[in-house]
Amino acid sequence: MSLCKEIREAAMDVFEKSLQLLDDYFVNTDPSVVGEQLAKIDSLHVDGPAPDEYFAEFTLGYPCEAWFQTNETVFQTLNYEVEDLSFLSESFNLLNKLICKQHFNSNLAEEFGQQDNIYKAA
Amino acid sequence: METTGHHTCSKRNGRSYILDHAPFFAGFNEKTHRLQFLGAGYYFWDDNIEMATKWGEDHYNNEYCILECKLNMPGGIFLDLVGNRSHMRYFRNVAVKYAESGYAREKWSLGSFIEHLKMLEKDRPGIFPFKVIRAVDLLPRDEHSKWYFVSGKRNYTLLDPRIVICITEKNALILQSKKIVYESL
Repeated sequence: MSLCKEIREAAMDVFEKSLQLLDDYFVNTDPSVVGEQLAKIDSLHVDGPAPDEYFAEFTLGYPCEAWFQTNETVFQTLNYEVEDLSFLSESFNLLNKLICKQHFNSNLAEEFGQQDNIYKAA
Repeated sequence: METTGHHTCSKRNGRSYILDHAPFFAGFNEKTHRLQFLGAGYYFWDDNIEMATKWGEDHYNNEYCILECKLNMPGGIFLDLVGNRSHMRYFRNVAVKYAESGYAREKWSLGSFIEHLKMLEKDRPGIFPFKVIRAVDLLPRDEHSKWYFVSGKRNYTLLDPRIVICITEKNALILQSKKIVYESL
């Protein structure tokens, strides 16, 4: 390593150095290798939340566990296909427990960025 | 910078095992098919025995110990996404670099970027030198923690945020002391 390069690197803080190395990686690495390395992380990613995690989130502290337990299959489907919100609305109307409904909707809305639609449907 | 970290673990192997081996590693969660929040590592609540207790009740069927550790978080290996805007800016810029290079990963979580960068660090030292990462864990229901600055305004701050710390390797520089401060009955 040249003295000049050494001095320059010493002056760089860890963050600048990190970003510079990241640039170098993208520029100097064979795109197929980058693709492979990204794919390793992609393969860990799943769209939507894990069903049991949602199950715990939505029921925490609210008196609707029985409803979720009896509708678990539907609930799991909803986690991944949040399209039939009218069904969701009907279910909650039957449940008629406002606090649960509000809590569920606010979490769902935040997760899927569809606040308006969900509130309309509910 | 130093802080106190609280780590919850199962008590099934006994106190001496815990003192010898804890904190315990949290990797990719096969059950939920999810990464840990800040990637794989050794997790602590930042000075939060209440959350460590809740974690034990919820995740260890109320059979748990809480380990209290003195954590040293030295500059250069500490990525502070809680109280340092320049660190936060850095991480935002990381995502920008991916996009600018044609490898945008809009759906990647924080944990995904961290895991990828850790993978790159093995061959390119310095690309992600961080061994301690800290972040606030927020949920919409964190109402109890809200404190309004003044009456009549909606602006607030949180005085009881959940702060998670992930250390990626156990060494004496970071993990300076440990003791069991609670064991469930």
